[in-house]
Amino acid sequence: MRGSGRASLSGCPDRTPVRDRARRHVIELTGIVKRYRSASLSLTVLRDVSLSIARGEFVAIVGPSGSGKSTLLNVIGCLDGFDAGEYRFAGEGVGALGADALAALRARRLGFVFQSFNLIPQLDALGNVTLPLVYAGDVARAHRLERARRGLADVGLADRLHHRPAELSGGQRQRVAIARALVNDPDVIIADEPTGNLDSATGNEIMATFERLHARGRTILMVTHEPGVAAHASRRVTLRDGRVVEDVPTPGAP
Amino acid sequence: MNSPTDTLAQALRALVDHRLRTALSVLGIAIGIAAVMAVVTIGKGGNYLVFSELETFGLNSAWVYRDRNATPPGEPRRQGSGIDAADVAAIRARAERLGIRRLTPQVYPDRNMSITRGNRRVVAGLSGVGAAHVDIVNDELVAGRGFHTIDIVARHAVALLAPDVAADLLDPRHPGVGQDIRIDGRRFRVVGLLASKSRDFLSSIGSAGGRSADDRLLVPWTTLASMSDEPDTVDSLQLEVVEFDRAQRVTDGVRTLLKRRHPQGFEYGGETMASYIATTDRILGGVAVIGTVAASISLLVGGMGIMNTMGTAVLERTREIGVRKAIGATERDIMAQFLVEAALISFAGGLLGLLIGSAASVALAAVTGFPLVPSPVAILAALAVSVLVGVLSGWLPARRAARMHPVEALRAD
Repeated sequence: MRGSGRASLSGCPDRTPVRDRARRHVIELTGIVKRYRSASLSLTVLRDVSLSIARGEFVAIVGPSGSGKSTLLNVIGCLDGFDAGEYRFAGEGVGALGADALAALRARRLGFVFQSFNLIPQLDALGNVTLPLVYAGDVARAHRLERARRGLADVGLADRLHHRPAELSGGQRQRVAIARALVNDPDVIIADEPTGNLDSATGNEIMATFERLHARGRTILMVTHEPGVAAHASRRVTLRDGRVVEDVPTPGAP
Repeated sequence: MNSPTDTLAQALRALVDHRLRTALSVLGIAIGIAAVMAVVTIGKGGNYLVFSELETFGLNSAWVYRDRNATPPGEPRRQGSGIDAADVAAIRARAERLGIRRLTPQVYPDRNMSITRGNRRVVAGLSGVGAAHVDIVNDELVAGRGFHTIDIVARHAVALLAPDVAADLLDPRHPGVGQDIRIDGRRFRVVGLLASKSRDFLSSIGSAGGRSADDRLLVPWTTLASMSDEPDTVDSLQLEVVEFDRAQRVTDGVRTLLKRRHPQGFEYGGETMASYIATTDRILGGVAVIGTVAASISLLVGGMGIMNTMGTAVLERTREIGVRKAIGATERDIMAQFLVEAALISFAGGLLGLLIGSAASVALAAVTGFPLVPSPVAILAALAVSVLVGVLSGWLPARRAARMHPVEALRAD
């Protein structure tokens, strides 16, 4: 019921008629190195990470804390730069993009879901979901509201359009965040511990939502430290000390 | 990019969410703008007052008198004013060539002369003037007539009374002309009553030696001179020049003429209204600059209030900035958001300041008798300045917000 009536969810528009590989792999990382430097020390967080993610995959990135999984997610989400290696998003090199181009990429081709929801407190649900469209800037105002309304209905919040985050439960907030991540019809959804702040029942509910999105063809990249949550994904990438130490299909995946 | 209406709506929402902080910043700017406005109003009102006071002496007026402080070297000092009736006639004969439209001799009593009517007695400024005096100093008559040439020539004992003197001296049951008063015991007929010329504010400070313009009476100069020990003496000349800009030349011409007629022992001085006005303008201009600087400092303090408020807002909303960046806001979007908030605060402050400033100006005008000179340009300027202050003050905090690293911003609490 929730998912009915959204034609755009059923498939990803192919924006890059470049190479065949780019068609299949929306994310291609080759030898990515990321260091944090301060005055006194230099810390290498990602060491030579290579990873390709095809369209339609649901990938869980797991690993102990400090393994670099959040940093990897930030790099893939174009929130953070990297020191060496190559990152191609839909066939296009990301390393050379300026701040505005990266912002445009985040606005139109990526959708973020955070552990602590990160809704804008002074905006109601509708306002929060509309915001990426506002920043993308290519959708007329009336149309924006309509899309946001449909997106919220899609996650079962049709009756919560004008509630502010403080007036919503944790699960509802995360569903608003998911609607916000989806509203631009992004190529990849990036989720950082999306169930970390929720009780297990609500967490399962959110994971069911992700599974449904995956089933409809969405590409999802999720960081988690909970094996049970990772089991919902179709592929599991394990990081340790900044290196990919395991990359396997998940047996329990649907 | 974010559209202007969205930015505005979000800025308004953020400001309403922090009412108290917003209100304090608004007040800071409001006080600054009101202070600037008050200074401008006081300056303008003061300028008007001084100018209208000077106008009562006649804008084209100039004076020539003996300069008693200067004696040409090697010449013996001589007694007397150095101007006599023959000089007046000589100047009058050359008036057109000298650039004089009208002139009136001025004679002041050489001793204390009582001014009475029956058992009423007043203390007032007594001066002897010519027929042209009333026109030169822009005096208006509310009753009777001014002096005619025959009054001057024939030394008639007639008088013109300013309102305060008339009120104190004349019979209240028969106010008006035709009554007799006594000056130094001699009987004078009141032939005219002068209109009030009092400028409460300045006359209290002391034009005419602390005496109000309404506290004077005029008689023909020839008559007053005849009552003194030196009946031929004129104390000074008041001229009305044809051209305001050439007033100084006119007085120079008159001084040269007088010096030629009295080659021994006298030096003459001249003053022009034009130079008084220039001096006054300079003084008022200086006062205005000082006042504006002082008021601008309070506006600056208001701007720093906005800077502080926006700095706090940016810190508090670091995480929100990170989120906005993550979902696609550019640096310009973030910058615009905080700049619009700052501009809104200061615009509201500007409006409030205009209200406070206007109220203060009206109150000031009521108390001092200042004329209010409303200026749409000044109002627009005040609003523009306040928005400018907001944008400038918001610039640094907004830029800090815009340049935040999204990952670090998202990590903030």
